[in-house]
Formats: sequence, structure tokens, C-alpha cells
Amino acid sequence: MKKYLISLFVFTLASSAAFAGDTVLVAGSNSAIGKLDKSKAAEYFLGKTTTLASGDKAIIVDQPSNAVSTSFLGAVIDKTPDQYKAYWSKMIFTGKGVPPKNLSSDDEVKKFVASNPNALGYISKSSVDSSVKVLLEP
Amino acid sequence: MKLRTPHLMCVLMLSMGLSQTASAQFKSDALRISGFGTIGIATSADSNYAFRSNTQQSVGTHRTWDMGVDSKFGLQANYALTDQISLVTQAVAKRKTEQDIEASVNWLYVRYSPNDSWSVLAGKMQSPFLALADSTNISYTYPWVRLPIEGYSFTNPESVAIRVDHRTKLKDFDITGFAFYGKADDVKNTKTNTVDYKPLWSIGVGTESDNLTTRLSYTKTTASATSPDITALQGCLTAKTRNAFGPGTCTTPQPFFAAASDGTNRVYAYTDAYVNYTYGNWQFISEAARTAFDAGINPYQQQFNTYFVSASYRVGKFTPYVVHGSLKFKGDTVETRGDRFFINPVFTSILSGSKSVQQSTNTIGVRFDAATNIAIKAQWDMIKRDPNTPGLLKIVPGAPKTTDGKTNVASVSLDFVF
Repeated sequence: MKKYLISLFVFTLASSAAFAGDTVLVAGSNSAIGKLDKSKAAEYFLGKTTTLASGDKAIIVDQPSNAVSTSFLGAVIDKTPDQYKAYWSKMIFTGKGVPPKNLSSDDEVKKFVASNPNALGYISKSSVDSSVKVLLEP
Repeated sequence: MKLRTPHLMCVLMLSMGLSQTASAQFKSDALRISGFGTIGIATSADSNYAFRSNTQQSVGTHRTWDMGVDSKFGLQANYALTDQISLVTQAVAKRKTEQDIEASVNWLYVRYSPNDSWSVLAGKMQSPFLALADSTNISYTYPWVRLPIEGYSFTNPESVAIRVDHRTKLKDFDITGFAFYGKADDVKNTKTNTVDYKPLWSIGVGTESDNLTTRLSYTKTTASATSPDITALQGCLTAKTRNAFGPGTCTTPQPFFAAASDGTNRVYAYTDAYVNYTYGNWQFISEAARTAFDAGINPYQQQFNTYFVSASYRVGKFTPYVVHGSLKFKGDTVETRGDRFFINPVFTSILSGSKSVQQSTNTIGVRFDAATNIAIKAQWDMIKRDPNTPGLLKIVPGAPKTTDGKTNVASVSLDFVF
């Protein structure tokens, strides 16, 4: 039993490590949005900054709780999807903000940011193609 | 609208079932409908005192499992009129005063945010007495089954107000200051006691970084508090009903005290400090508040000092936690002022009434994040009061008066948001 638990623990750590760094923050390839640091990206996903450097309203795109969101949110804002949901629940129900738009897959995120120059979202690194440009590799 | 408590279960289950659909149906770029709720049951082994989650509830649980103490359901609509202007409204159904569930519109305000630094709110909104006041009904957002009752079981009304917030960045910290001016809703604590608030003002400052959130605020208001005791006392002291309290009480008119004890224009001042610190999987939350107020009989001044400290540690989906909460009374009583001539038992009773709510609670519990929008919690509260005093609990009519001052409460809840 003890061996099983240790193996499970090691496997869990290894799985987490495998995801870390496998996601990227992207915008459409024709977007004017420039490179971002981790701190600025966190401000967008926590609703603390809502406008781009150009002054336009930023459209932030999220994904549901999955391996990609777990990795990205953990690396950029140091929160699990559950903690992130609790954070936004508090923001919503205290009237302080509206959470990012939720899209269900890397393909949907790419399609959306490619057609919205003010949009940014995260996808797995392996999904990057010519329709998007990378703003941050956390 | 009133719902019988047993019907609440049906409403909550239906709302959970419909939640995902509703969310998908109504969400659009301009309009967003969100909801939250708690299905909770609580019980206490104490047959003398009933446990309740706030002092406005005139009934609570004692020796039975009660769904009404913690259960609630709410809906919120955010409608973006423009990028800068939005309309926010929130309605909540929960047990308020009596056994029935009451639904009411808590918030209805316009928010104007010309940029990320400034925001102005105008309309009906939460009064900012305490840091977590605007999350009271959203149990999903905090670790515990309910906010620590020593700090959060007292009146915390909504206000029709205007509020201005300004946020600025200082190195790694967001600094936010606010100013608030409004008129709080009148409160009916029981069938007979009421608090009629006059305009209140509040100022505060908060900081926020990756792992540390703090808030400091000061609120001041005046209010007229009336109750049968005070009304009868006035009559007694003005010789209208001098003998109402039996031989030995109010035997002579005392107009000075009568004029000073009509319950109007009592000054209330609230000072609050809050800190939330996260270190790895640890989370520490603490809040201390002081409520200073006229005792209703000049020149007596009294105050409540409350605090709680909480520590939790996240292990995967589980977050066990411990909390210690305390409410202490400080201020003038007949004994402390040495007014030995002042033997009117009704006065004495009113002045010592505030002292009887003193209590502390030690809590252990665990939160399980069953899904991204569902949390299940189990909690055990050990409440300790001065012997033979109710603390924040409700005296069960006809119960024996002699108790050891200890009450244990078990609670299980399911919180959800959508």
C-alpha cells in the first residue's frame, strides 16, 4: 500500500512537471498586441487590466478546467482551476468584473483570436500554427 | 415571496440541474446571468439554545437537522450598457427572520469604470462595514461552511449609496482606496426590534499582491434602535406606566434618563482590519473588527471587539481548515461605572444585555472541491459562552436557564456557482 501511494505521488509530480511550460499565450498573427511578461498576463486573466496598450478593450479567452488551463493558470497566476473559479466567483458576485470568455479547445481559441485582433488566449505549445503568434511562454 | 423551508430543497435541486443550461442560454457579450447557492444542513445537541447563522434569524437549529440555517439561492445579472457602464442586480432567497425563506433584491446599481483605475457605483449595494460582507451569501468563495459568526452574525445591511474606488499600482502591490456614502436599509431583527439607520459614510484602503490581500476600513452612522424593552422603559420612567415592572422598579419618575434613553440617534462606529495571506498550499485569513456604540442610555458607551483567525492547507481537492473566532464585550455597565444608586433592574438588564452575547468558537472542517463549480464542506463548531448566557444563540422558549455555556454544532453543505 505504501509503495502504491509513493508511486502515485511521484507520478502526480511527474505529470505536473510534464505540463509545466507546455502552454503559450497567443494572439492572432495579425494582432498588434506585443509580447507580455507574466505579471501583465496575470493582470489580464485576473481582470485587473481590461485595456490593451493601444487603449482598446482586451478580449480575454479562457478554457474550461483541463490539462491546458491547469498548466497555464498554475504557471502564470499560481492558481488551480478551482481557485481560479473561486476568484472569479468572488469578482462576479461582488460586481467587480466579468470573467474571460470560455472556449472549449485550442482550435476554438486559435480561431477566435485569429478573427479578433484585440483577443488573447492560451493554448498548448504543440497547437501553435501560422494563425497565431506567441505573446508569452510561461 | 415566501417559500416554506422544505420547498427550498426542490428549488435548489432544480436550479442546480438547470444551471448549466441557463448559463449557456443567457450568457452573451452584453448580458451575463450567474447564480450561486448552498444546500446546507446543521444540527446542535443543545436543547436550551438554538444555533443560527446570523442574529436576524429568529429561529435556529437545536436537536434537529435544519436546512434553513445555511441554505440559500441567488441570481445575479450583469448587463454591459457600454464598455464603461454596466448594470448589476442580485436577488437572494434565504431564511431571514422567520422560518420561511424570503427572496429579495439585495443589489441594484450602476457601475461606471472609465478606466482600470477608477470606478463609481450608484444604487443599492452592500454596506462596507466588513471586508467579506459582499461575499456573505457566496459560500463557494470561502473555505468554511459560513463566515465566522462572531464577526458576521450581526446586522450587515445593504445601502442605497454612492461608492467611489480608485486603484493604483505601487511596485508589486495594487492599492485601492474607497469612499462610500449612503443610507442603510432599516433592519427588523425580530418581530419587534427594529434599527432605523440614518446616513452612513465609510472610507477604506486595501492592498493586493500575488499572495497577500489586506483591507482597513472605518464606517460611521447613527441609528434609531427601538425595542419593546426600551419603549416600555420610556413609559415607565415618565411615569406613564410606572408600575409595569412590578414593585421596586420605576417607583419614581427619572426624566433625565428617560430623555436620554429613547433609542434615537445612537452613534455606531465600525473599524475593521482584514488580511489574507497565501503561502504555497497554506492560506491564512484573519479579520478584527470593533463596533463602538451608544448603549441607548446616556452616557453609557459600549463596544464589541471581534476577530477570527483561520488556517487551511490544500491537499489536492481537499482543504482542511481550523478557525478560532471571538466576540468580546467592552464598555460601561452599571457595575463598571459604579452607579450603585442606579438600581433600576430594567436599565441594568439593558446595559448588561450586550455583555451576554460574548462567545468564542473553535472550528474544524474540510472543503472538498468536487467540481470546478461545486464544493462540499463538513464542519464542527465548538461554541463557548459565559455560563447561563445565550451568546449569539437563540434561547429556546421554555428551556432550562442553567447551562454550562458550551454548544457544539455539526454542519454539512454543498455550495455551487454557475
